[in-house]
Amino acid sequence: MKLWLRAILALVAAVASYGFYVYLPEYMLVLSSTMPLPIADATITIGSFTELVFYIKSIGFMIVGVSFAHSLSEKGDTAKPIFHLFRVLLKIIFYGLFIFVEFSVIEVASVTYGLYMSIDITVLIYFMMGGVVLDLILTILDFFITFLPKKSEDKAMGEDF
Amino acid sequence: MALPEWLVNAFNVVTPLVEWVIVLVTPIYIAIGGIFASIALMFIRILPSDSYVLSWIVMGAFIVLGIVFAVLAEKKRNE
Repeated sequence: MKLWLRAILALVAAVASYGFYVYLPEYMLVLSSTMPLPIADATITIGSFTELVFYIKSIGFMIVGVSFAHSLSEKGDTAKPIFHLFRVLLKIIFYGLFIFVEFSVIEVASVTYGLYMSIDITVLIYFMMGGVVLDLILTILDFFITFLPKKSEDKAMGEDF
Repeated sequence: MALPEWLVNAFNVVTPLVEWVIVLVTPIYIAIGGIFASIALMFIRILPSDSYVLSWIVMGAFIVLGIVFAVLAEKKRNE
């Protein structure tokens, strides 16, 4: 792909990851901590809630940078799998932080409408974590694809000379 | 509207298997989650807890590195 096309793609990726890793987590955490949804069972082990939001946001900023760099580099370059590895590591930390939160159940209750429902969010967090595990496996495969053929090329060159 | 009998029988066979898979996979998943959480805890100890400056610097460094590597690779390819 051409460089300018990849630059546009990288900008889109950076904006998307800003949305997914900085804006939305903060919005959801603040939303669930303030009044609209009373949380029945939430235990937070690291400091305070604002501290958690702070850590999630600061790791989200790093993910934004890595996503930009990752999608700017061309497929097959040596830099791409390295950026991918950094991104997976940061994602592991990101979802590791969410596991601290343990939103077991968010309960939505309304007397006036006779509404009562409880949503299990832990499952959602674990689903996302599964995505990260898959991403880790993909990164290892990416490393194989990028670094193994080069060795065989070197061997072939050596035989030729 | 009742389900046909063969479908009900098929579900009766499949459901315990799915439950077993869930029972076997859940501890592995929780263990992986624990590893993730411990990595996160280790990383948090390094991060400063009062300003976003360090994370912005890391973000900027990655953006600059990405641009530099992309331009270098492009130059190499043009040669």
